[in-house]
Amino acid sequence: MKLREALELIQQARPAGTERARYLLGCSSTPTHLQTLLQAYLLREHPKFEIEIEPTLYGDLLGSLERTQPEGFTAVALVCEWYDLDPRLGFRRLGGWSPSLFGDIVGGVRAGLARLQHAVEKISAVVPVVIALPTLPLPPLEISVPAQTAGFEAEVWSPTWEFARWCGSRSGVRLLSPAELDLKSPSSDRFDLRTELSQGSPYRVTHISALAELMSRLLAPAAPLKGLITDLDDTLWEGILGEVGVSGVCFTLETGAQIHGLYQQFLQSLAERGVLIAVASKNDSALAEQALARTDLLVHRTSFFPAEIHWHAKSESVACILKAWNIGPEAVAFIDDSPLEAAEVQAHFPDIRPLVFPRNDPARLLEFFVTLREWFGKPKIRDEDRIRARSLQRAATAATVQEAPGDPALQEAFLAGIKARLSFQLSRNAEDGRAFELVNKTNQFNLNGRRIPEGRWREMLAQRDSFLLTVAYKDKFGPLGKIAVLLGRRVGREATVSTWVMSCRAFSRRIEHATLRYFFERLDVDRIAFEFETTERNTPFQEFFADLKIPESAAILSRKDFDTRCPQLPHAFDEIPAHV
Amino acid sequence: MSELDVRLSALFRAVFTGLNEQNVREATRDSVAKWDSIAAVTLLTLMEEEFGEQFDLEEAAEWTSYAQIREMLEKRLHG
Repeated sequence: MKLREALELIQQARPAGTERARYLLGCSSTPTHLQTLLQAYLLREHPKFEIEIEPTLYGDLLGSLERTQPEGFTAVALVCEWYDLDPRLGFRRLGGWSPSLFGDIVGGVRAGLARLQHAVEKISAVVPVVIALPTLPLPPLEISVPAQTAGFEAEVWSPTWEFARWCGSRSGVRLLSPAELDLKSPSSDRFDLRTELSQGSPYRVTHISALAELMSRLLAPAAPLKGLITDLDDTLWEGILGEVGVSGVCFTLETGAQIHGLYQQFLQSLAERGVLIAVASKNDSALAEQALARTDLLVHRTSFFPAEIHWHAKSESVACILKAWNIGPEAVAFIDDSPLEAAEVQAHFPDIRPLVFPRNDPARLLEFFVTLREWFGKPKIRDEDRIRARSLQRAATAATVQEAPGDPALQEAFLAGIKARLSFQLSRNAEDGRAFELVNKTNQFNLNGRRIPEGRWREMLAQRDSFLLTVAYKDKFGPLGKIAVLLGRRVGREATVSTWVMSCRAFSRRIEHATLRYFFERLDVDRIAFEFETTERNTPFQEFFADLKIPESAAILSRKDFDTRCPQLPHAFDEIPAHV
Repeated sequence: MSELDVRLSALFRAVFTGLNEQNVREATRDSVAKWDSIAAVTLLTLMEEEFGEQFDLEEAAEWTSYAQIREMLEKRLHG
């Protein structure tokens, strides 16, 4: 993005009532253009927010961070250059480049990183922190040929990588990828000594733009996709199964089909991170099942659910898969080697993300993987992500059993027989990443569709009268993990629920009713007021309110009314102490 | 309006929010409240992006009006 485009985007009027997000920008050089471009990139991704960027003091990154009170910020972005760690590693100070000073300068870098780590530790306990480690080249302290990495250079990078490793271990810290920055902004095209000396601004605008774009993606990451639907022939493997047979399809270097093997590895890795993987293939079902059972495949047969293998249109397969997954097409990628099939699916599901597999074109495979990483990448993988696919398969089995009886008595018997157990945890734990994730990605059973930025989440839970109730679920078909979250405040004998979400995997088990029963009893309140709003997608929530006869216009439920209207609840439950 | 005016006035409007076409042509450092040192650096960078020319900060500090900048640009671009 050019600076002019950024300014024009910022000037565009926002609709009334837009929410506000406030970011701290840690940068010791003149921040004007970085501030403008970061604001513009964040606005482009989140047009419904009013974005405010507050820069730290010029020339004092570490001191500014040490003094920062992070409450009130949505997140913090910081760019730490060499001169922030030791001013002698910049061009605006003349502290000497003598080899006799090298040891002292390395010591300065270590001390600077220690201060940075201390400050980041404190800030990241409250709001997320995004860090770019030195993006500019070191000054020519070491007189070696430019092609050689001199000893001094390795000495200063060593503690910096130790710091990077520490960042990787912290849940609230996201490190900007130097490799991705290299792709967007070649290192030879970043530094401008002219503007550094005249304006205190060392960056070329193209570099600032690249930095701002990547930082904006880490500050407010897009919701990752949840499922991937893949074709088989000439995609998962090379060859047409019906022509070459089960042993004739290939995916190895020896057979010239390595890119298919690499794709299989990638799919397996996605599956192990909780991404749902399904098959949509026009094929003979029995033959395809035999091929999928080959033990030399690099993706396990159990990683695919469901497998829609027949001769019907791919869009029909996609419809069945989405139903089995119970998610919308906007959360799904469709991979096929045929642009025609991809177009047919997209014509029926305009929101799905089609991607053509680069058959016969290894050069494009990396680009293909980069796209998938953009779509599926998330800051952290949780246990719930890993068990999602398995629990969906079990839920589908349960649904088959459940859908069969139309008789209410049989339905009651079914619910009583699944041995459902709920685990409630009442806390104010802002570190509960799974709860935060659920709130920000659940659409259907959602009280009002509100998304909560991380800073606001922490702010809400810091209030003394606030509560966070999470619900985990398991039954004889297996665990679903943490599936529901309520957030709100309690004053006296009344509670206000501002957020209530439940994963669609947990529908039709009366978990929502059991949650209310626990809530009334455990919080000992007489009434609950709900901050309900109708959204385009929260029909399941609207139906739940209708069942309990809660008016949408004044969404209040008394304990007495709930006791009268609540159906039979067969669940067992336990409580997890807040400190766990 | 010349092509140079179209391009330069667009940059002015990007930096100084709220100026219309007529205001831009009459803009001076004294008449535009937002014309401070930060705005001057932003205008300088936009002009470098737009015209592919380099300008010194000292030079930008002496810019006092749209007309003066336009004249300087005309000379720089067309000799």
